[in-house]
Amino acid sequence: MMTQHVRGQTAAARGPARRWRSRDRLTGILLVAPAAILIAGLFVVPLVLDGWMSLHRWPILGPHSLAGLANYRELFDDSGVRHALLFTAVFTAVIVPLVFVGGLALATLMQQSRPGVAIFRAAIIVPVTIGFATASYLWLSLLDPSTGIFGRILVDVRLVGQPVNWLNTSGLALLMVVIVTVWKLAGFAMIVLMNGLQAVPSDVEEAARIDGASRLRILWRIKLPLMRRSIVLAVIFVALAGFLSFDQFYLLTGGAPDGSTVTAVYRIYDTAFVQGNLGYAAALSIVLLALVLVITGFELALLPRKGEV
Amino acid sequence: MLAVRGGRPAAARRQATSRRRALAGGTWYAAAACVALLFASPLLFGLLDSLKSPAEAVQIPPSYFPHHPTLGNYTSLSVGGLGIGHFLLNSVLVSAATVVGTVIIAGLAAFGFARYPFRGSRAVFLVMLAAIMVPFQVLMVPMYTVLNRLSLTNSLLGVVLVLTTFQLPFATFVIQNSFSAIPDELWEAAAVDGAGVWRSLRLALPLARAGMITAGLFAFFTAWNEFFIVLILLSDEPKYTMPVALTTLLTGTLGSIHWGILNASVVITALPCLVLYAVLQRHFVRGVMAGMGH
Repeated sequence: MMTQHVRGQTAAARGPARRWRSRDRLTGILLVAPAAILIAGLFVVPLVLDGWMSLHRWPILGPHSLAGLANYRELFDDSGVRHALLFTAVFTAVIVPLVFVGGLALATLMQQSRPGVAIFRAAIIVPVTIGFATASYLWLSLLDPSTGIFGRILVDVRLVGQPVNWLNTSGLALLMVVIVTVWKLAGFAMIVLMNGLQAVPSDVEEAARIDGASRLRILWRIKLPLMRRSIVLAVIFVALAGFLSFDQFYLLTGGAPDGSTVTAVYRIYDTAFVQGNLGYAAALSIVLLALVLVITGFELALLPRKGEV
Repeated sequence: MLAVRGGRPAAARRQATSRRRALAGGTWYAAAACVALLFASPLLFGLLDSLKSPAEAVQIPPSYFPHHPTLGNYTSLSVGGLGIGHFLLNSVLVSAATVVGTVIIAGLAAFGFARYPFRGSRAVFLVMLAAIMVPFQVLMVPMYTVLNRLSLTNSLLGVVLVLTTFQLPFATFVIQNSFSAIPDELWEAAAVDGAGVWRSLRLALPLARAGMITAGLFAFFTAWNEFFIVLILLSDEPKYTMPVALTTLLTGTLGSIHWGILNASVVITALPCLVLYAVLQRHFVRGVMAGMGH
């Protein structure tokens, strides 16, 4: 850097524009190089290798051999994989509307500028910042069938007679993870949608109110259409978070009961790092990547273009 | 949009707000407080739990408030025989290295893209942006294979490299936005003064401060909270960062989980996140709106 700096000065003194430019180009390449090397080594290479490995029998130990499309053919007949993908889709389909509607309600409530609102907002955003693993440990203790406070509360308000094994009961386990996930993500949706609400000019809103439009109608007909960007951002983020979820299932249910709460990423983890079948896991990764790109494709297609609202 | 908002008479705006305030003051506070309490309650119960004595922690049914609050769980914190400080240190090292690495590497790249474009720099930038669309979860299998070849599995450096790489696209994007906002005149003036790369960069850095803080903040949250990458890449327990180290508490020494210790660890792990959010919430909101946080 230092020598370059000195040479740069002498070149400036001579002033040949052409040499300046070629030096600038080299400077640009050097500045970008560290980032480019990391992206190449740990993103581009793994991406290509993902496809390559998926065409092989590739045990975690020992030699691998070319297998053509055998892994993909097996995927189609694998009821475990089919169940994991279906379960992931159902989980995503459940949390997206819950987080969106919850986030929208929170955003309308917390958007007002009143003294103390920052504290209320912070209480809702805190779960967003603490990470899914930390949140899962916390809820694991709250949901313990004997010593967890969750059961005590439900008993005290007479909702249940006595606590049950929330995380190991069919149906209930999914409900619990949904609660944890919505608790974790609602604050995120609130931030994004609050930003969207603020972009709606309030004189438009007032004009509609004077014309006698109800609050709900104003929200539905005026605000929501004007905040398309925020809505797309929030919905796609939550959809991807649901689609790629792992931590909360790994820690809260461990796939229980009977492997019914194993998500797609959980399946990849299990296939690759528990069973040691890297090739098959790579094929499943490629399928999941294709599905993720479909979701992202929706995002890009639905986001408003420049100049559009 | 901005013009419309700015053009609205301030008096009308004040009037509208005061009318709304008069309409539902008390109701609003009641509703907002209930909702906030609902969201805060899991963490509050975790905090209360962490203050219970070992005897009270196993009480059935559990008590709402600790009868004799004690800091015992915090002072005797150890995970799998090692003091909690050990795992906290791992977490601090990984997070610090990821934040510093991300901000420096992305900062240099953003500066290069904004100031010294070269043939193909646009293509490199686009590849980086494309990386945003591919979540690391679907690349863990080949990534493990690559890192294994480089002897970087079961190493904190390997974890830092993966975390940094996947932070780079957004970080570069956000910081580059800050650099792009710098007017050309400033660069020209710097060039006339004979400023080289180094001095131009030092001149530009303060102006990109907001972008770098946002990038660093999200790098911290990701590194501090990361579970999946650490779980896969590290196999020696002493190398674990907090989120994975706590799994060893779940298997327990005698088959029973010590909830007080677990909740004290949860509180300690959550605390830096709460503090950073409180201090840097503006940057947090900005990052979220830029699409960070995947």
